[in-house]
Amino acid sequence: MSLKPKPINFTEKWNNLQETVKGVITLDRVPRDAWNERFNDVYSMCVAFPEPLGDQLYDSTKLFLENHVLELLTIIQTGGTANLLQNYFSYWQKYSKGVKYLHSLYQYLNNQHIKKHKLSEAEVLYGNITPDSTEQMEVGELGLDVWKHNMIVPLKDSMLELLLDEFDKQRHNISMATSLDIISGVINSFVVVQEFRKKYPLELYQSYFEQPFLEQSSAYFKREAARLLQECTVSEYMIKVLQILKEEGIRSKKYLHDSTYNKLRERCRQHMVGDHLKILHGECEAMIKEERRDDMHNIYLLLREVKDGMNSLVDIFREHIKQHGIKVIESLKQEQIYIHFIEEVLAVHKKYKSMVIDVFDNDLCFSGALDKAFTVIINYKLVKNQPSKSPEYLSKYCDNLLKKSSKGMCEAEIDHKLLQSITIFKYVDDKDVFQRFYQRHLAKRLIHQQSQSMDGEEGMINKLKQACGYEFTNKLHRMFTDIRVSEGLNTKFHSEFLKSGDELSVNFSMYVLQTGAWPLGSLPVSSFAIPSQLIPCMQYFEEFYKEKFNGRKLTWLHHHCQGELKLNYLSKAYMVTMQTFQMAIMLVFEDHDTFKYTEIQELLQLNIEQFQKHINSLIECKLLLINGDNVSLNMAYFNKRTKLRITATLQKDTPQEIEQTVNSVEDDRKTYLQAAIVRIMKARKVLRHNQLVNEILSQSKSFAPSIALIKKSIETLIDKGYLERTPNSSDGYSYVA
Amino acid sequence: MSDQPESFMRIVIKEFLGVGNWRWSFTNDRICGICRVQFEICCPNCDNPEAQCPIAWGRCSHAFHLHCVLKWLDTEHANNKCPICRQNWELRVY
Repeated sequence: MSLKPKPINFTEKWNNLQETVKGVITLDRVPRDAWNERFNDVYSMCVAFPEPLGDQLYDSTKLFLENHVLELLTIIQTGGTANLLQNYFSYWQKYSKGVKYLHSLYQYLNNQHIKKHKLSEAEVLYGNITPDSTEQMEVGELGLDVWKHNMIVPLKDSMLELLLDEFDKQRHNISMATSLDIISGVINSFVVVQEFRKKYPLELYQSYFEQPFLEQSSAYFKREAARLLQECTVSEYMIKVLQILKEEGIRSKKYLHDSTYNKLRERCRQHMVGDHLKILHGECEAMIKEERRDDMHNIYLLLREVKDGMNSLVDIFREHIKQHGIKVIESLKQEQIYIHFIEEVLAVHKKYKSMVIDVFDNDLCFSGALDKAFTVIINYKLVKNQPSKSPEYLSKYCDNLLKKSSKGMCEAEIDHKLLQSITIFKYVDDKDVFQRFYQRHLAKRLIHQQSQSMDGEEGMINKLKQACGYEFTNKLHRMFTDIRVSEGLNTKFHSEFLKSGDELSVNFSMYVLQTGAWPLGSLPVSSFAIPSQLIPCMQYFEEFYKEKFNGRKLTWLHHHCQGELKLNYLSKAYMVTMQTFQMAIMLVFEDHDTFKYTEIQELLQLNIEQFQKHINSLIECKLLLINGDNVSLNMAYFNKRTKLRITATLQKDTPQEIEQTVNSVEDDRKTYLQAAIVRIMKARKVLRHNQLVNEILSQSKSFAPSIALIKKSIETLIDKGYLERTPNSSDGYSYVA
Repeated sequence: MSDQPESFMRIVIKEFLGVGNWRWSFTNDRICGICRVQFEICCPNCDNPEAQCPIAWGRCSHAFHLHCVLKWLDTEHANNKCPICRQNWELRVY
């Protein structure tokens, strides 16, 4: 057999070929040698001499296929409407398979003759050229195209009606007349006949089937919604709608093209949820108030994909938490209020946090609402125009946990509670106020050796650092450093002192602190005559320190010192830990049992305020007795324990201290704001008022500055000559270099 | 009184825990003129709060953290002048 082009008698060859084509397209038996021969015939016709006969072959094949499909159409149409889908499907199955084989038989024609003329993919997709109907297609495509024009187009209306009818039956739980694979097969044929198209391959499926189907579905959803809303409560309605949504999803997965899934559910959501938002929203408030978890979950599922559907639900949820939280805060027991405050607010938080997770699938909108609500709750001002107490309470709460006194709790429990307090901390607006309180409390714990454990303290500071950054805990770290350095210093002091051969009567140790790092006030609170028993060791230490650190001046802070006294005059010996001023008062009674009140004060040279405070504490605990002007030693003092501590009352926060703490924060804020403004203006040179305020707000992390305070700071800076108002605009500032 | 043996004394200090703070004795300025941080605290360039961060006191009587003033003197427009009074910067030895 030769591949050389030669003259061909077309009619003769075509008659042969036509037989085989018919066999192929009807899936009849085609002998292998016949197949091979026809394959060659296609080749020889395409390369025929003197003129190639490819076009003629193409046209004849097309005509043949058209006639074939028209024949099938007649058969199907005479089969009756009842069998229409069934017949269509079985002929389609056969035909589509046959076309595939035919495509192989015409391979030479496809590859050599047609491809040459075809538009490239890019031309179809991006060019303006629309392939006209006369353009030749590959034979496989031609076969499908013929089917489309001669089968689907004439049948489309009757098939559509049948198909929609089947879906309608299914939706109303009436058994279907046609089986699943026939329906999905028929629908799929709409997709397949155009799948080869580069542009809009789904066009036929969409216009012949999907569009009417969606319209029909919409009508169904609308009807159902109206019916259900009449018949049942909103809770039941939601359950039903979810069910329908689910069923429609499954249905579309089973029967339809993938692209329809979302469209169908979208329709369902639109008509069953979106169109009735008012009714659903109307129920939100009640269900959240009553915390009907199932309903909340259902409405969340329904609303989450409707545009703007969830907003009001989120708002109501936030408002509900807020109200609950504020109610809790307003009804707290006054005694140890800080513990109640933290623990009850935490309980509320825990409750709603778990609700967000369980009911709202931990949706960002709802956890955001939770956060917003808690920012309000925690910074809520119980008394108008007075700052929120929460920073103070929180610090006290931590103090209570970190102190030695928190007995009965294991370490893990304390740690857990501290970790939870960080949850609250994150919501606190006035973080700087908290910082001040925490610093004070930490200072007291460290100096008075009240910390449960240093590890615990450091752990907490690290937690704060994680939450708020290095700068925030910097000072706290310095305090730790001082304590550690002092410990080393004490060891050194004692070992040097041992060498000198002298002996100290008192077990002496010392904390030397950096002035700026501690919230203690750097000056002594009162003049003071140091008890003679203490003088030697204090002197020794001063000398030692002077020698070690040239250029440093040491100041004693007597009101922070403490010591242990041994009382030998009672029926048994007591060891009592007290503060220096208390010690000094006790030591006055070494030689006499009774003194005049004023006499003691003169002896000790304490100012009246400090003296009263300390002597009262001793009278209160019955170590001293007062009788008119006379103060005397209580010789009949008795206590079950022999080791006591009477510093507690003095270490409590006084209202003045609390006020002082809050005020010092105010000063810090002013300084901070001024520095921030200068920094911003130095970089920007000229800014409008609002821009400046926004920049400041975005920069300050440790507190939320009030607009009034910002304005004040700007005024101050204008007065100081750092800024000036820009002459030509009413609300601009410029930096004065 | 302290000569008496302890057993004869009615009230005895057994233990004392002193607290004091320190500051530099040679300057009245509390804070560094450059970084505005207290002298007792190291300058912002020292990451470690325990770092040794000495104080530099100029003949013009202005004081700074040594690190801060060295950084200043390194800049182009410093001209070896004190950043506060613009006199020649000379370290005072103490």
